[in-house]
Amino acid sequence: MNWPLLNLDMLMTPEMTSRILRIALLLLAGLPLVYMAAGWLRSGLSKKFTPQRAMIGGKVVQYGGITLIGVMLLHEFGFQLGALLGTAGIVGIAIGFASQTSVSNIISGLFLIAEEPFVVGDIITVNNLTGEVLSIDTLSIKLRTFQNQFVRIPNETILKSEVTTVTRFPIRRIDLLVSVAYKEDLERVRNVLMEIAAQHPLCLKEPSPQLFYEGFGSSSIDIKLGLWATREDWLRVKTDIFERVKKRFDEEGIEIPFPHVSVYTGSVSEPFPVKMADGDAKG
Amino acid sequence: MPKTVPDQAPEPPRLSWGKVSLPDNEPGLFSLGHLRLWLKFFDGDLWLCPVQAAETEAEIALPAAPNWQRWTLGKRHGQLEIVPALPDLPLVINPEDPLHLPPGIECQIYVSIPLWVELQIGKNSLLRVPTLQLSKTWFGNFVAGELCYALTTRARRVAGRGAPDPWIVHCPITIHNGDDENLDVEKVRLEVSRLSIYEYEQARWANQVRVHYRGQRHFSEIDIVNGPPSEVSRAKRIRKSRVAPHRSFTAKTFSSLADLAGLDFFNR
Repeated sequence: MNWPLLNLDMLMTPEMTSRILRIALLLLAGLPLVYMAAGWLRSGLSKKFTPQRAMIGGKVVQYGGITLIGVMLLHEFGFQLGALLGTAGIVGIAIGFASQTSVSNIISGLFLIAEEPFVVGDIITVNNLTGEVLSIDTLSIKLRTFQNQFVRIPNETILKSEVTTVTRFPIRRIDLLVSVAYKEDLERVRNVLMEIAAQHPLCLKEPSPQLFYEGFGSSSIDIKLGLWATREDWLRVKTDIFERVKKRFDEEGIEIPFPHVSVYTGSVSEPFPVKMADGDAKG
Repeated sequence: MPKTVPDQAPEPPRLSWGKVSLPDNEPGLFSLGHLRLWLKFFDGDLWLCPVQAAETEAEIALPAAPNWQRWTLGKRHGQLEIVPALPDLPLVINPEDPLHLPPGIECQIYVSIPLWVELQIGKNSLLRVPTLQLSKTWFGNFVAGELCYALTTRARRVAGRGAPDPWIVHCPITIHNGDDENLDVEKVRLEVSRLSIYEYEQARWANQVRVHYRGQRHFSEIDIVNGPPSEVSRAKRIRKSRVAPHRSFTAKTFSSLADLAGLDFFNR
């Protein structure tokens, strides 16, 4: 049997040699260079920006570089890029229509990362659901609630909803609603409450505690006490102050009234008349 | 509330600065300022119980249910040391009567900083407790700032007279108003981690601090003067600063009251 001879001289034209060299260069030098550039950018950005932003910057360079090398390789192999891109566009539109929700979530995710309303580790409230942000991913964010439940929320939902980032700022205010009886001396009550705040070592001296009157309630005068604590100490201070107010009010004889109704018969100042009935009382 | 020592209670072994030596399972007491620090060794472990007394002179018994902290020290048992320290956060010094400095004027005030007590094994710190519990405060605005301790001071113009308090560190601060407007010294932030502690005739001192104020919009230039303050130039250093004291650095030192105005309270 006569095998066709492979004529290397015919294949190894100067043009072909140069093409092979370019392909080798793209694969052996271009790809490592892209990965190195992405790594440098990521570490450089992480010094100035959050890890999320640094990661995005690195990914953009990485994927952009790989795409560029891919296109250049296809060009070297003789593909017509115009026709290829046209086909890719048509396919892209078809896929886009078929996966609108996913695409919307991906784009929402990019906006969330760029806007950065919260970062991983923050505590947020979305639609009455509060939890710690575990991750911000391409399609959704993941939360861990305080009941230790795992919640996945699509990025699009986050972008459309009102989101409260509880741990955004380093200090938080504690609002304590205190009700006292009408008979109490309000100046004394004020002094006692301020003293309780001043004596708690974790209650911040500055911003200073503040007190104002909410109004005359049906059974009590309602007072609002505003105290500041760091976000780490917030819950502890809130619990402690609540206990201390109750204990101190008991010691000082300051009444925290429960709802009550006064019944009187015609005159504001006259007591309700009570009569003892004569004779044998039975029953 | 800790109970007062009953008359018949045996006096616990008293501990002082330096290496700690105690018989096994016999609590010893280190007492300074408002701090009563109980220590004991039991089965090779170290047990610690810090208690804050209401008065500096008050005798405090070991609480009936002590809140012990337990440490296993292994072979480093004998290296335990009690050393003086400065607070673990910066201080916001609040003069009882605010000072007002016209442009170009310089003044020196003396601030009394409560000492902290640190338990160390070699270079490792086990516990750092104050001889006076200070309240925390915020230096900055509602969005950013720094957690500090609040310290109200008389800001005396003359160094402390009379017998020195063993739990107080005197720090001389020189403030120079380099701005063309009056400076109201209502709150001064002091970075204590850059200060060393010196001792002279049983009184404790920190480095002299020079603050050059350059206006509300600029950071103040702060100099930590190397060595003991000029008042006690022969004082011996007993504790090195936690952070290397750069000769000069800049920092926000004087707070603006407008930053933390209570107006935000109504924004519910």
